[in-house]
Parts: sequence; C-alpha cells; structure tokens
Amino acid sequence: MNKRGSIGAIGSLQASNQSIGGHTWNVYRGWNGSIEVFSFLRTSNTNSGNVDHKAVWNWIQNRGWWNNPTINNIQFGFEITNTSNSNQSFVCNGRSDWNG
Amino acid sequence: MNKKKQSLIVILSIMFITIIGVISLVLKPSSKIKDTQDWEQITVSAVKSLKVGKAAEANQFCNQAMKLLSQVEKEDIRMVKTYMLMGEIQRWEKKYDLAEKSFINAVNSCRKIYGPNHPNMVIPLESLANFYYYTKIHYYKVANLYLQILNIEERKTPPSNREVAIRASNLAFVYQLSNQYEKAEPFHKKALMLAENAKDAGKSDLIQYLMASSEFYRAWGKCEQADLLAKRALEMRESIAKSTPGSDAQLDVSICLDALGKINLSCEHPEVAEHFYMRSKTIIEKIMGMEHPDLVPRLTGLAAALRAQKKYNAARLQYERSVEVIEKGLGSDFPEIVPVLEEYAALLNEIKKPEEAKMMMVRADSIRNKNSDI
Repeated sequence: MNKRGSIGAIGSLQASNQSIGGHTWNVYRGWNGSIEVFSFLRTSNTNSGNVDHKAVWNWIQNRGWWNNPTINNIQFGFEITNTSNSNQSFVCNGRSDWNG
Repeated sequence: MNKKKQSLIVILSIMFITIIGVISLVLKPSSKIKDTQDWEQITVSAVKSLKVGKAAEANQFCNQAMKLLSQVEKEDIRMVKTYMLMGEIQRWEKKYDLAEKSFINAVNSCRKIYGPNHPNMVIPLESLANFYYYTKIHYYKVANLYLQILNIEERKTPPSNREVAIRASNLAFVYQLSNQYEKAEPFHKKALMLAENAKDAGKSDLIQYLMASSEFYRAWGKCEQADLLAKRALEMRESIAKSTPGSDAQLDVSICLDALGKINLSCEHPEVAEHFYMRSKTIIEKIMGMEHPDLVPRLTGLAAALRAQKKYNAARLQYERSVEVIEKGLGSDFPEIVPVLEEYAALLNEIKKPEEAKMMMVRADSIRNKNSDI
C-alpha cells in the first residue's frame, strides 16, 4: 500500500496498472527460494484505505496462478528493509478484517 | 500334520508376509517425500526469520536445508531454490557480492541439472535478473537474462502466448530504460501482436500492452503513435466501464486519461493535456475523495498543463493543493512531496517570486537529505 526506497518485489512484472479491489496495482510473481510469491504494489502511496482481498484473490485465480486454495492466515504489517541508519517509527493506527 | 497342510501353512505365511510388506511400503512415506517436507519446513522457517529481521537465524535454516540436500542422491530443483534463498538472505544483509554469487550458483546448478533451455531455468534466471535490476541496477545484464527467459518461453511446447508477451514486454521495458528504443520496439510490437491475437486472455492484456507501447512511443518522442495507442486503450476502457459497475472500471479509465494527459504535455499540446487531467481528477475525487494522495499526479499534471499555457494562478492552486494533500495524507516529510515542491518552485521563479521559490527548494532539499539513504 505504501513503499519507500529502492526496494523491489520478488520475481518480475506480470501486469501493470491493474485496478482491483478499489486500488490500482502493479503485479509481480516469482520465487523467494522457498515459496511462490505474488506481490501487488500500489502504483502510488497511501496511508489508509480499504482493500477488497477477495477481489485480489479472484484475480489470481482467474489468472490461473492458484486453484481454489484455503486461506487460513491473513497478516498485516510493515516489511522494513532499511531505516537509513536512524531510528524510525512505524505505527499501525488500526486495522480490521471483515467478511462481506 | 500331513504334508499338504504344512505346504498350505507355508504358502499362507508367505502370502501374509508379502501382503504386510506391500502395505508397509504403501503406507510408509518414501524418504524423498519426507526430505521434501523437511526441506519445505526449513526453508519456510528461513523466510519467516528473515521477515522479522533475524538474518542469522535465516542463514542457519538455509544451511540446514543445504546440508539436507547434500545427502540426497541426485540434485534437483530444491538445490536451485536453496541457492536463491541464500541469495535473498545475503541481499537483505547487504552482502551483495555474496548474494550475486548465490544467485549465479542457482542458475549454474539449474543448468547442470536440467540443461540451459529447460523451463525450470526461468526461476533462477528471473531471480538473478531481479537482483541486477533492483540491487546492482545493471540493465544490460537484466536484458541478457530476460532474453534468455523469452527464448525459453518461446521454445515451450506449446508456448503460452501470455507468458511470451509478458517476457517480451519486460525485455522491451529494460531496453527502454537504457534508451535503446530501436532494440525495444520489436519486443513491444511482439507483446501487442500476441495480445491482439489472444482468444483466452481477454481485453485486459491487450489494453495493458497498448498502454505500455503508448508510453514507450511517448518516451521516444513519437507523439502520433503514442496518442493513437492510448486513445484506443481509452476507448476500450470506457466501453468496459459502461457495462461494469464499481470503481475499478472507473479507475482504469482515469489511468488511460492520465496517459493521454502525459502524452499531450510531452508533445506540447497543454490545452489538450488540461482536458484529460481534469477528467481524470474528477473521477479520482469521486471515487477516493477530495483529499486522497492519488489525486496528486492528476493535480501536478494539471498544474504543468496550466503553467505551459501561462495560466499561472490556476497552476499555483493545483501545486498548493498537491502539497496539502500529501501533508495530510502521507506526512509533511514524505519523499513524494519533493518533486512537487521543486515544480512549484520552478513556477514561482517563473512568476518572479524568487524568495518563495527558495523556501520551497530549501524544504525540498531538507526532505531529500533526510531520506537519502532509503
């Protein structure tokens, strides 16, 4: 949803400017050496918003990248790759998941 | 006991032992399956450790995985993936020379096991390309690797046109990044042609390659071609939006409008660019709200179009609003504000307000310096 610095997603670009679940993403796919990874990088940063996960999962399904898996774990957080040798704060002010 | 009964007992015993033996073989997991399960658990643990910043622990798991595989009779894709995992860990630790070696080892290992043109080669080639793309920024090496991947995809029987199009488009983009437009063009054309002829992929792929090609021609300075392709994409998106409820289809339309705004700005038609950016801005305001950071590219695009027409007051309003939106939505020191402040400063200089321009630049420099290592 928000990225800073010269980090990149695993694998390579598969689809650009895809509007899914209320946001626009560049989509990447690749392997990290253990598992296959699908990355949806928002094309511009935001600090808040609602994401329709199911729309994203359906997009992956329609692409043929998985076949009706059971989702048993959803996590939300920060992937910190660099803090520029200084202390930085990462604050999540709130989150919620719901079934619609 | 007579001989007949003894023979029957022996036969039945042999049958019983055989049946028990077969059942044991069927029920007991083969050692290869167990090794794979162990390898999967170890590598997943390595990834989990890395995600929480425990690189040393991730390394230990990775070494365990290597040790497990050293006991396997024949090398397989797991060795390749373990080298890749090692490369990711070393990249995370900023041990870039070691990471490069690990990714290269993954490629060499795969080549040794499967041969240079095997479909499995795509995975390690892609990882090495990713490393050169994001970490070393060696686009010529990325291009070589992408070309190898494209060749492998084209050799598959049957080839997946979608995969070939993706690889061709990615290769074209890397050439484009290095301003090698003549080299990029045939690959953009290939991706577009495959998407035009695709029966199963739907319009989305075609629109994507129309947009990619449009941006390519814009960057190359070929305005007419850029405009034609982007207009075709817009027409398709507008047609889809008419029959598709929801905000996603509208967002797609706004992306096409942005592209046309950018093309017309580059090609010195700011009055046309203004029209496209206004339309896009209106869509985003409706879907995201009046203060969403997604408005910023539309506001700054509009500002540039207005400034080019010497509508300075109107342009200034858009820059001011952009700054406010970023400050409220992302924070006053967010790096995204830097280019906006710089453009605003350029406008202020143009309208002879050098002191205000200087303030903008000082602020921009300060924010840039704070984020210089990120």
